Amino acid sequence: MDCLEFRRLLGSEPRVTDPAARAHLESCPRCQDAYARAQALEARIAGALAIAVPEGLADRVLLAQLTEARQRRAKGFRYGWIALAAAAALVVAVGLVVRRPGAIGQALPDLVIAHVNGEERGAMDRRAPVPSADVDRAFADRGVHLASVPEGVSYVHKCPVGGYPTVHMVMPYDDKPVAVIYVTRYRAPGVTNFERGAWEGREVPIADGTLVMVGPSAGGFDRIEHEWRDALQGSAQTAAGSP
Amino acid sequence: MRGHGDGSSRMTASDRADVRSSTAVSSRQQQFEALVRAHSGELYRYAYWLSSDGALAQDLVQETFLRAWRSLDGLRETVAAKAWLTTILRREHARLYERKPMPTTDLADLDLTDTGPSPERQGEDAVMRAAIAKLDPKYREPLVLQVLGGFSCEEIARELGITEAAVMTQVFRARQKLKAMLDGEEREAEIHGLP
Repeated sequence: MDCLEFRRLLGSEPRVTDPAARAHLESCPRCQDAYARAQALEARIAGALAIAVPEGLADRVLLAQLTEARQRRAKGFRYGWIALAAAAALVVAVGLVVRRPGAIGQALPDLVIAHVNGEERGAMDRRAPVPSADVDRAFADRGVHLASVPEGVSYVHKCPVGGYPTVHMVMPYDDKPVAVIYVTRYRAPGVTNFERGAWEGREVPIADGTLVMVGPSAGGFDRIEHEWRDALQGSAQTAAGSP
Repeated sequence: MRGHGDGSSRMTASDRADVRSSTAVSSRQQQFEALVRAHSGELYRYAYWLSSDGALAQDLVQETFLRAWRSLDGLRETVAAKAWLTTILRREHARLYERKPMPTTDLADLDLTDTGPSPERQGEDAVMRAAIAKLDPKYREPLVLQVLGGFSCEEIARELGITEAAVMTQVFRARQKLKAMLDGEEREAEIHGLP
């Protein structure tokens, strides 16, 4: 390989991995100078191309993927339900009814537990109440109007739980923390109590969403549920026994 | 540590917990998360130099990974992941290009911020970035793939659907043009008595 060939190669592939080119480089001082200049230029180009990557980009991508995966599962369920409904129509014809609970609802307690476990350290230990206006604003930002704000909320934050927009709160009861999460845009089919490890929980459809309570015991669930029924659908409707 | 602000554009601790809990669900999810963590930064930079637009580059990266997720089973070897993702991103960019005209590169709009190096180095990077942005895309793209992606001329040729000789010519000319532009910048600085 001569100097001209080497310089052409150097301009195309500055790393110079070709054995013949490496051999020429070792024996030619002028090409060694050219090689050093080329490496300096490469370092400059590489440094300029390496623009700052937006913080949290990978996390946002993963969140988008999880949301899409969940929506696809839900969509799959819907299509499955349609097929099931078609089959059910045949079954009904012979006098049987087929019913299948919602796939989303089955996942919600697990999503909420995972969320509570991953929430900010110390959120469950807070006791001092936050201003009612903060709670009201968090719901308003989620498009939910509150008739009143229950007292004793010690933590409030707008969180996505899985793909669901929620308002996450903590309401201590009898000095034990209760995580209270209102999931907007999803209404559970009915009231369900559940247990996951050391946690007890209850999900309750209220207004257009679902209130999920999670705590070390179910002690305060009845009171908290009642207060949030009043807040979300008004005390008159609660008194009238609205579901 | 999360605050009580909106925080809608940044992933919070709870969101990360969601990700963590979901990644435990399947090895497919774990494989995908590893891909995202390993390649999102590099893909963003590639997308940025392809589109000259930071926001668009983020969208491209997200859409690339969503498409990758849908066809993850088609990825046989992890070592081929970078080339595979690059191909998806290029196609996604081409689709976008078909739908709407791409913004022309205006040097005044380029985000030249960099928090790492010294001010002198930042200045040098800014000059070089401006020069790279001025390159015709047919020179810029193979150069970015080579320098940023670490692809060989043969791999770039496969990716771009041109011959290896053509790639070698384009990256050679790209460097020549950059050198010429930088020499011009430096002469300009000397004329104006700039350091």
